[in-house]
Amino acid sequence: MTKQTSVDPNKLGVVVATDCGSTTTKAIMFEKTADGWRSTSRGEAPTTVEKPVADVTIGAQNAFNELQEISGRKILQDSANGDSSPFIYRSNPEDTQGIDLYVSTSSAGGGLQMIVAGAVSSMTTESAERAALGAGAIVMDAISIDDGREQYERVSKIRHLRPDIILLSGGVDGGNVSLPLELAETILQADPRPRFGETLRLPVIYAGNSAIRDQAAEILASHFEFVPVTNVRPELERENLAPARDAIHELFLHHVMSHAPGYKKLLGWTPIPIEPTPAAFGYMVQTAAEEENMQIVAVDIGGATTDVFSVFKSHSNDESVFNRTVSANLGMSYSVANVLLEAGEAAVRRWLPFEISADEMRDRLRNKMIRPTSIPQTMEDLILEQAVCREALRLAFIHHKRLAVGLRGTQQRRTIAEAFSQSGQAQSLIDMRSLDLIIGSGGVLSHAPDRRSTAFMLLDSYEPIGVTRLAVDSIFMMPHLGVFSRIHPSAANQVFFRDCLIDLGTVIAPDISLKPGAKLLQVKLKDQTIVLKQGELLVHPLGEGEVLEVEIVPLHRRIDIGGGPGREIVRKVVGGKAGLILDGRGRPLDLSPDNSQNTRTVRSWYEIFGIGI
Amino acid sequence: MARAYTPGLDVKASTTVQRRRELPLPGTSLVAVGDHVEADTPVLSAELPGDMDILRVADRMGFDPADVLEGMKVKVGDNVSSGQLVCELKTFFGLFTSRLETHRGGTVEFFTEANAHLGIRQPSIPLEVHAYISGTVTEVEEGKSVLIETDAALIQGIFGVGGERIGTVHSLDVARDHLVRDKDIEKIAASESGGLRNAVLVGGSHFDIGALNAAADAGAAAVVTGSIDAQTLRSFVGHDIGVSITGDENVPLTLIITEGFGSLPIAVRVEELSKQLHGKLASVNGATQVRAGAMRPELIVPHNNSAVRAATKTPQGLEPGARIRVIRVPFFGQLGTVTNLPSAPERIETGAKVRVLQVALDSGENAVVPRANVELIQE
Repeated sequence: MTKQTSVDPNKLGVVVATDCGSTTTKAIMFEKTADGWRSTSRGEAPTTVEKPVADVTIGAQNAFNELQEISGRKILQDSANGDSSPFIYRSNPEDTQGIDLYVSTSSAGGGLQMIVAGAVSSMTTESAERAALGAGAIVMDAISIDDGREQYERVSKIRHLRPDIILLSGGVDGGNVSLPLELAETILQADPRPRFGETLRLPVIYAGNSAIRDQAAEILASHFEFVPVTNVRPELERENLAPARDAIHELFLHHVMSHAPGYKKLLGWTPIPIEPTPAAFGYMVQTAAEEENMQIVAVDIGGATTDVFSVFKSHSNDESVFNRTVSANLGMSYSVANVLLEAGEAAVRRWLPFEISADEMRDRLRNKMIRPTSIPQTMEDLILEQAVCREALRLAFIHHKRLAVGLRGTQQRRTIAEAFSQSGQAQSLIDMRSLDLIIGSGGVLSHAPDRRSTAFMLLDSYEPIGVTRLAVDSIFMMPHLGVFSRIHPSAANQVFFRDCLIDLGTVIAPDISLKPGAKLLQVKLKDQTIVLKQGELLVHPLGEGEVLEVEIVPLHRRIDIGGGPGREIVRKVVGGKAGLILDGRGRPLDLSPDNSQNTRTVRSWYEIFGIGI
Repeated sequence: MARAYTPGLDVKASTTVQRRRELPLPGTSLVAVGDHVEADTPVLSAELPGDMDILRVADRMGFDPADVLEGMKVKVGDNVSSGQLVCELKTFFGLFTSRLETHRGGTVEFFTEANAHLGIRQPSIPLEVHAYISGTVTEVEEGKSVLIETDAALIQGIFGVGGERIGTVHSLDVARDHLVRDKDIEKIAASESGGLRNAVLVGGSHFDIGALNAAADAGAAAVVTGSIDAQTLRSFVGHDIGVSITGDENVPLTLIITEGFGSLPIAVRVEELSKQLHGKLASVNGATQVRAGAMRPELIVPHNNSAVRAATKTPQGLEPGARIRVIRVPFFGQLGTVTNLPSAPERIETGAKVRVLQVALDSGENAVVPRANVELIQE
C-alpha cells in the first residue's frame, strides 16, 4: 500500500471520515483520547447525488451537522464559504473546536464499474480482473479470446454495458501480438459509451504487451481516452498489478468522480484522494492483518453484491497477499432471488429448522426483492433470510477462492509450471487452517437481532478449520477506518479492534470427518476438559473481553488442528457474544440438501446456540 | 433522515406526470418548449454508430500481414461501397492476381499493420426517441433530452417486465381475487368488436400462463394484475428473474403486477380507477429498478385536465387514520388503518428492537407491525 499524502499523522487529534454510499452518507468522528484513538460519534443523512439535489456535498453537510449535534463539538463554520471546506480546522491540539483532518470514501451511483479484457482467461484476463477488483471496482464482464463466446456476442455485451473504465490486457511483453490487438478491435467494434457524461471519452487503460502499445493506440486513441501503463503480466510467471491499479484510481478520481454531481467540491475538502468504498474496506483488512500479524477473511454482504477480502501468507515466500472479489448478484435484497437461483432451492432449504413449500419460499424471497427495505417480523422469516445469507456467503467464498490464486501487485515470481496451472482451487491461497479471523459485515450479519446467529451463519458458510476467531463490523465503520489507515494505520487499527469489531467468539474445528460418535479432540480449558465427538456441536460460555488459554489434543492421528497431523497445540482463544464453539460436525460439513433429517438436525443446532425458534 | 416507512405506490386519478426522454448519445432535439406532443411523436433523434466489419485481409488472402501492405487499395477515413476492392496482390511474377472485396459498405475506421485487419464501420443507424406520453414539452436540453409534462391518471405497479407500450385501457369485469385463465381472455376478445388488439387489460388477482399467452395472441399491449407466482413468470419470460432490474425482456406484452408475488387480489383503488379509465389511451412501461433512484412500472393516462388535479387530496403522511398495506409476513398483503404510532422502539418476535405501528386490519384483527413493513396507500 502506498500512501499519497503529506499529512503528519502525529499531529492529528480529531478526524472526520465519511462514506458517501448509494443511499446514505455516514460521518464518523475519530478522536485521540487519554485511552488512545476511539470512535466517538456518528451522524448520517441521505445521500444527495441524485436529482433533484444532485450535489453530494449537501448530504455530506447534513451528516456533518448531525455529527456536530451528537458530538457536542463545534466542527463547522457558521456560514458557508463558497466551495471551500465547511470545517473549522484546529491550529493547536488544545483547541476544543474544530478538526484536524477530513477524509472520505464513496460508492454513490453504484461505485466504480469496469470491463476487463485479456487474451487468455486464466492468464492475462485473470491478472486484469485482480487489478480491477483490488482497485475497488465491480467487474461487469471479463472478456477473453477463449471465453467461449462468439465475437458478435462479445461485441454486443460490451456495447450493452456502460462501464466507467475498460482495462485491456493481453500478451506478455514481446509476446503475442494478434490477440491483444484483436481485443482492441473488439472494443472499437462495440464502441461502448461511458456511464456518466454522454460527451466524455471512455477511458481504456492498456496494460498488455508493451511492444504493441502504439498499435493499440492507433486502434483505440481516436475513440477513447487511451491510457497506456506497464503490462499487468510482463512475463508469464510475473504479475505487476500496481501500475494498472494506480491508473484506475487516478481515472476514478479525475474522470469518473469529478463528473459525478458535487464531487469536485468534495474532492477539494480532503487532502487525500477519495477512495472507492470497497478499496477502503480492503485497506482496513490489510492494515489489521499487517499490524496484528494475522491472516484474515472479511466479507461485506449487501443488498446487491457480496465482497470478499482476504489476506493470507503466500506459500512460497511468506509474504502477505491481499485479494478481493465481488460476487455481483449475490445479495440480500435486490438480488436475493438470484441467490436462490444460483444455490438452488434445496441448498437454501437445508439450513431451515422448519418445513416450507418451494412456492412459499420463492414468493417470499421475491417479495423481499421488490420491497428491499422491509424487515423480518417473525423468527421463521428471519431464519429464511439467514439461510439465504449462508448460501450467498458460501457461493461468494467459492468465487473468491477461484480468483485468490495470484500474486500480489508487487513484482514476484512463480515457476512457469505454476503459472500454467494457476486456475482451479488447487492453487488457491486460501488456507483455512492458518486463518486467524473471519469478519462479517453488512446488514444481515451486522444487524442480526441475536449476535449468536451471526456467529452461526459465519460458521456454517465458511466451515473454519483449526482455531478461528469470529467478529462482526458493528456499524459499517471499516471503509472510514480504511481511508483513515492511509494516513495513520496504527490509530485506525486501534479503533478497529476497540470500537468497530464486536467479538463473536472463537471456533475450534477439526479438519476431517470420522465415523459418527468417534472422538475427535480433547480440549483442556482452565478447569474443565471437553472431549469433542464426531457430529457434535458444543458452545462453551466465554464472554466478550475474556481470553482463555486452551490445550487442544487431536484424538486421531490424521486430525491437524494447526500443529500438524495428530499434534496438540496450545492457543489463547478470545470470547464473544457466542462464546467458544467446538464444531465436530465434520469437514466438509455434510448437510446434504436431500436429507430428510436436516430439519431436526438444524433445529438441534439452533438449540445448542441458544437461539429460540 | 430517511423515512422509516415506504411511501407507497401512486394510484391517482390525477397528478402531474413528468417524463424525461433521453438519447444515449448526443443527437438532435425535434421539439421545442411549449410544443404539444402525442405519445408516438418523435422528440429526439440520433445516429447510432453502425456495426463494424473486420476484414482479416492477410488471413483471407492467404498471405503474411507484412506482404499485403503494398496491395492495400483503401486507407483509414475512406468511404467504401459494397463489393469495392480493398486489396490486390500479384503473385508468380504477375501471372496470378489475388483480390479482396468488401461485403458491405461503410467507412474505413482502422487498419492494423501487425495483423492486417481492416475495420469498416457500416453507416450509422438512425434512432428516434418518442414522447411516450402525450403532453407539453417543458424543457429541452439541446441534443440530449426533453421533458414532457402532463396531467394524468397514474397507476404504479410494484414489479413489471417488458418495455414501453401504448394501448387502450380495458378494465376486466372480473372479481379482484379472480384467477384469469385463457378462457376468460378468449371470451372477452370475442365480445369486443375490435378484439383486444393494443388493449391494456387491468384486473384480477393474477393471470395464469395460458391467459398471458392468450392475451398476447389477441394482440394485447399490456396486462396489469394483482400478482404473479414465480413459476408463471418464468414461463412467460423464458427464464428466472433473480435481480430486480427489468424492462428489456423480449416478451410479447408488458406485464405489471400491483401487489407482489403469490396470489393477491388487485387493490380496490386500482380496480376502481381502471374502471374510470376504461377505453382511454394509456402509456405503460414494465421497467422496474428497485435500487437507489427506484423505478417502478407504470400506467399513465394523460387527460390534460388540471381541474381534476386541484380536487385531489394532498398525500397523507404516516399518522393515525392513514391507510396502509402490510408488505411482509405474517400479515402480508393485508390492508388496514393506523391506530397508533408509539415513538419508542419496541421488541418484535425476531428480537430486533424497531419502530412499530399499531394497525386495525380490515380483517378485523389488531396488529403491531414494524414501520418498515408497511406501505402508505396514496388515495
